Amino acid sequence: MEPIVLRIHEYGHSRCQIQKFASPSVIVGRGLDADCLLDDQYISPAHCRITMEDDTLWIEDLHSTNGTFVRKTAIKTKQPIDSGTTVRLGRTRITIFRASHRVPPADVLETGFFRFGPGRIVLAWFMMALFPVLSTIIKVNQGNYYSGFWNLFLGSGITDFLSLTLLVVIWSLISKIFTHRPHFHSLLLNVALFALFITLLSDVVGIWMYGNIYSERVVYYFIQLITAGAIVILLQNSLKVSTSLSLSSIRLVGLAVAIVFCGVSMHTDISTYRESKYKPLANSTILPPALRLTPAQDAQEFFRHGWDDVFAQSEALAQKNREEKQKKRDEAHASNRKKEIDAQ
Amino acid sequence: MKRWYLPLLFLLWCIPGLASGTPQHYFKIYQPALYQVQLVDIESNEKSVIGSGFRVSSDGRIITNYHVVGDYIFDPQNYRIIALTQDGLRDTLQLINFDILHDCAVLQSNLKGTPVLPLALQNPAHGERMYAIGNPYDLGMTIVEGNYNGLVEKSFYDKMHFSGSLNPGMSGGPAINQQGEVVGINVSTGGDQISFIVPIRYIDALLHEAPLDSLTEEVLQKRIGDQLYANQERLVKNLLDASWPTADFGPCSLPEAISEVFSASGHSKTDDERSYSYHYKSYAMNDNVYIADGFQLGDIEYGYQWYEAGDLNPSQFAQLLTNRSASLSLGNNWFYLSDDEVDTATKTRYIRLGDTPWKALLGITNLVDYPDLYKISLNLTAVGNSKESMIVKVRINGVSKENGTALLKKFMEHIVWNR
Repeated sequence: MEPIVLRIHEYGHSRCQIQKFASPSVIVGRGLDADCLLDDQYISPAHCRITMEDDTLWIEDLHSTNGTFVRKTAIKTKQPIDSGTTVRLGRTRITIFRASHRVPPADVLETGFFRFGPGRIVLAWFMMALFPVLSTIIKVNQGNYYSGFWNLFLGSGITDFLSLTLLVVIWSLISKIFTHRPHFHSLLLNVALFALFITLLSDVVGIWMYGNIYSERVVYYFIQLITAGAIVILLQNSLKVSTSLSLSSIRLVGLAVAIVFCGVSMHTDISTYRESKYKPLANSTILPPALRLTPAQDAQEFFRHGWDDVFAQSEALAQKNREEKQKKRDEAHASNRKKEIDAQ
Repeated sequence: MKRWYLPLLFLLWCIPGLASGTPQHYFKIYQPALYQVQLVDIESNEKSVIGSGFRVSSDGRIITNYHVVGDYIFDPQNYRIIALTQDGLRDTLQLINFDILHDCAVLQSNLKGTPVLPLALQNPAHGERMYAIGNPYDLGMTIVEGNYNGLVEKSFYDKMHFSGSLNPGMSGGPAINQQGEVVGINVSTGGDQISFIVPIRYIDALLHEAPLDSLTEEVLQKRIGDQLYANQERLVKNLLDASWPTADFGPCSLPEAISEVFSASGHSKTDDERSYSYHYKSYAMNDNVYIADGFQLGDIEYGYQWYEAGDLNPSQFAQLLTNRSASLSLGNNWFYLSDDEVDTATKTRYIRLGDTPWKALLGITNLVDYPDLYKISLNLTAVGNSKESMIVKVRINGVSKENGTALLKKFMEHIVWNR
């Protein structure tokens, strides 16, 4: 009898595994007595049976909870299938072949957003390495007047590079602890990915709304974006996890966590810019018109409307201090009183 | 031989003459009316400040400096003012009144009787000998000789220039003329042989003023606040009435010393490595009002920083100006807040003075103890030119809302960008 070959693509994994069965009947399931044992909580202990009868492949659903799907249709009865057909059980996809299948397996199951090969890994590291150089060039030419290229490169470029590398390493180590939890891998990766993108977005929003960050940052963020892509590739490679951008529930959780995380930091950032006494000159007339945000006001206008609120604000600050001082004075008074009574 | 007694008579005549007309004589007869004034910390019962004082009336009024008893005024529960006589007698004094602007205070003691030191009716003549008496470094009562060199002209707060050497501990002691009358009280030193003395008329005025009704912290602070308020009214009125001379400095025409009580200083720097250059000029009042350690009010300062971009590109130049204009303090500081700026309310606006755009940073601090007074700072940075720029910083310490606004407005009207 011709052996049955199963190519199994477990959810969240970027690689498939191929298993070969000599017996004419293979039970696929989560139970320990299944011939093909799968780690997928949405699969029943004995989920379906694949058989080779009279040189024909058959598939039969064993009353599984979540059903067996062939081309998106749940099968009700035992039915014949062609070699090379993909079936879905739970969140796992299995492609069934006869051993004599002559067509090489098609590349249909990989769902990764980025795909890897040695070339891409080299490219990713190259992009990472480019980061300190490009960011230093930008910083030196756009604003940083006080240190030269090499000072800045050694002082901040290299540090940036090392901290990004550290991020990749730590993230990979965390994920190694959870090797048997592909969902968790996926979650970690998604959080990292969304966090990176949202952080960049929040800075761009900061520039747009308040014009408070130096203008060169716009270019700088573009470089960061490329670097973020590189980090994602390296992470995926070390985790062996794909990151498709379809909105499955697990990715929604990742997105939600990232949004909350970044929302908090974005809020802090923006309120810092708004309240900062030290708004840079990004919107001054020294810079090109496209980067200016606030039009200059007439000086008379500045006097007419500008000051009452600042006086009021300073009075509120002083009032707060007065109350604190009064409180301290009362406390000191009370403790003196107590001392006097004790002394008596 | 008949007249052998004549030299003797002359000598006899001379002895009392020597004694009664000289400072040595007065120093000797005033001894019982000269005290060391100590501020004693109640908790540790040790002296925390020493100064000098003198009796001016037979009912026991003693004069000293405000700064000798200043800690008491800020914290009446924790200090006691003590007078120590030459014989080692101690007496607790009660504060009657003080003048923070001219640094003097009146105290009441139980040490009644004579002698008392008489107050002079007028200032000495320029160059006249005078004598400062006090207890420097707790070494014992000392008399220092020097000359009266007139009132300090470049000070908004009247004081006499005494070319003798005052030392710590002599504060609050009397300065007497050759007739033994008090012409002022010792207040501070400006270095070798340059010392300052408060003219007696302020003490005279203080003695005639109604005493403080009580010695609670509120009443004392209110008195300080009132005096500071009246002072800034007078100061700002003078400045608003005056016409301000302006002069070109780099690309701008800016106010010079806006009154004779301001002095200027300046320096320039070109940084080869950083390829930009700046020139700095500042004006400050020569004096301020001492309120407590590290806390002075009643002064105005302003400074100009003229930057030339050199090789810096516009973005780098903007960054340079951002850093240099951010701090509210006058110097060429980096952009961090100092502690007293934490309670400062600020506002940043881009404004036009004439045709040129400027970035204005306004900082206002309402004083905690004196609600009518504010510290107001204004930083203006010229942002219309990428080759050169001017940063103008003005700081007014302890001013009312209206006066501060009016003064800054007048200041801004005097700023002109020439290029």
